[in-house]
Amino acid sequence: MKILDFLYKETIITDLQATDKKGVLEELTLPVAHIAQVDHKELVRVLIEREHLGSTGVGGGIGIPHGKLKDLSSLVLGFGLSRKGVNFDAIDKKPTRIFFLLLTPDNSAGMHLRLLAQISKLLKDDGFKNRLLEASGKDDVIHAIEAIDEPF
Amino acid sequence: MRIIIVGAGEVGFHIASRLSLENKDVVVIDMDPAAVARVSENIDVEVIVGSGSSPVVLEEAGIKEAEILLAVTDSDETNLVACLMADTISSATKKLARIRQKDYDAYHQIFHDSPPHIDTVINPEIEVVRTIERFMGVPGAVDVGEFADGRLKFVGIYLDKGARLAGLRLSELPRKIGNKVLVAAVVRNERLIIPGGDDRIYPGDLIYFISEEGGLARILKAFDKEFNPLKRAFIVGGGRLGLRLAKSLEQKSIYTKLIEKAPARCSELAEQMNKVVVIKGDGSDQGLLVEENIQDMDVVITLTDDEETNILVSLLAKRMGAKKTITRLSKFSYFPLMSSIGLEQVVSPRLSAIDTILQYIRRGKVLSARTISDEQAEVWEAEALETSDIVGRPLRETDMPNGALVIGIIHGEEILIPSGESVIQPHDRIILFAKRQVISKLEKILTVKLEFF
Repeated sequence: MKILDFLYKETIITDLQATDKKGVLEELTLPVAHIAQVDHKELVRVLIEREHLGSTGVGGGIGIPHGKLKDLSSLVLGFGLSRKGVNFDAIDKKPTRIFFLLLTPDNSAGMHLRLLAQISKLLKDDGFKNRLLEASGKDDVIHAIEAIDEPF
Repeated sequence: MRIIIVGAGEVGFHIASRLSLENKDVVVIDMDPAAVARVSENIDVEVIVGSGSSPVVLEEAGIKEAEILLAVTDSDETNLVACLMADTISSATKKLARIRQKDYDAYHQIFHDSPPHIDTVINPEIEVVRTIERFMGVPGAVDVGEFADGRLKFVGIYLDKGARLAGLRLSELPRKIGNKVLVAAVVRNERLIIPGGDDRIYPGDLIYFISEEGGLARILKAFDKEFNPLKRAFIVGGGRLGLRLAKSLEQKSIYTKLIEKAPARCSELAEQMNKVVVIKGDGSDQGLLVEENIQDMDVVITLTDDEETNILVSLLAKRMGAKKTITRLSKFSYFPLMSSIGLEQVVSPRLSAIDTILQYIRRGKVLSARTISDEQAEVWEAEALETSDIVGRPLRETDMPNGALVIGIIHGEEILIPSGESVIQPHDRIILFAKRQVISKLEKILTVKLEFF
């Protein structure tokens, strides 16, 4: 399995407009809801609920909002870049710029954890992070991921 | 976290002042410029004069970014419409509304399941009736909280002059009582302290402890509090609250008299109840109280809309020999005075509403919250979540802040009064006690790590 097995071009947003946490979640989930054919409102609700239990703003400008959804047929990823950065209640209290959104079906024990681990690992690589931040379009994001995407 | 509060009355004002201290992004909306002025003069929050049920005003307040909307105006209708508009404009915003009219009781679930999709309907009157009934069951308590579906009781009680336990070290308490008991806090001269085993308790102390339901009677006995089953109740004030309580007492076969001033309301009340005796009259009329044998009453509950009347009637009833009084108060500024004039059992719909609201604002999975001792501390029931810092190691090794305690663990059917060696498992329910100053630190311990799905 690779990250790009689950990330579609349509769910990549390279210029998020939202300026707050809830707005980012709404914007990020819009294309995902469309592709996965799930209710957008429900999706946002699940993510906000999850954030309430503890922020997924892991610091270093990175946010990995995630949640489980009953009606989802398979795992789906989203990606977003905020040029200005958003207050995402990050643990280091700094603005968050890079967002990986993870949505998994209710019963997908284990797999989402491996994917999450993989994403967290890759984002520790500053070169990769910078390539993402400098991406000017969807293709740049895909190329950046392609370059280091390996089976996990 | 942005929180919009519609209604700058006592509850709205109070919640706003609490949250502003906790670094939350708060906007208060009210139609009444005077109420809004009171907020902006006293609290550092954003304010808007306007109708909270207006979509334009809600957008101006930033409803789209808001995580929570609290609709707490005096009008149920305004609160409902505010939630409906919020639901339309920003469906993911959590909505809490105070809805008090009994006619709506049967619709709370419907309001939740279909638009306006209110996440929580707050009806403080239901909660107050519950509080009154808890008070009736625990003699001498100034505070009774229930956790784990009532199996654990959190009780605040004064140690009387000449009580046998006076001067005792806390570490000797369990042996003396012969029961498991954990003292969470002692309020002495209005200051809340978290005592250690070597500390002693003295007359005049207000002692907060937690105990299993079954052991409570024994503990109260050790505190020299007499336990008499209540058979006769006397309610002053036939408003919504009085009616609700009377109906509930009627079901429990407690002989109840309900006194109400307004003749028209009296006939309404009489129609709705079978066994409760409705009396038309003024509760502050001493002659009437004599006539109705107030001295034989096990409990007098004063629930009129006028709190000065309530205080007065409670004092009068006590003087005339009623065994116990429960007084309804609204103004928070009166609370600290109550124990010094001998009215220890006090209820407040507003305080109940605030407790309910707090539960939803706290991070982590907080199932219920209550404030105690003039808001010096909070008690929560929460779920211990997988990957949070509180699970999987002995309590003494966790980063519990000074001033916070785990005072109960519910593991499946089993209830534990914890020690430093106790280990909390994921999905256990826990009861936490925390001084106000350390609440955000405590929230942190309850929140989950990234890997939590």
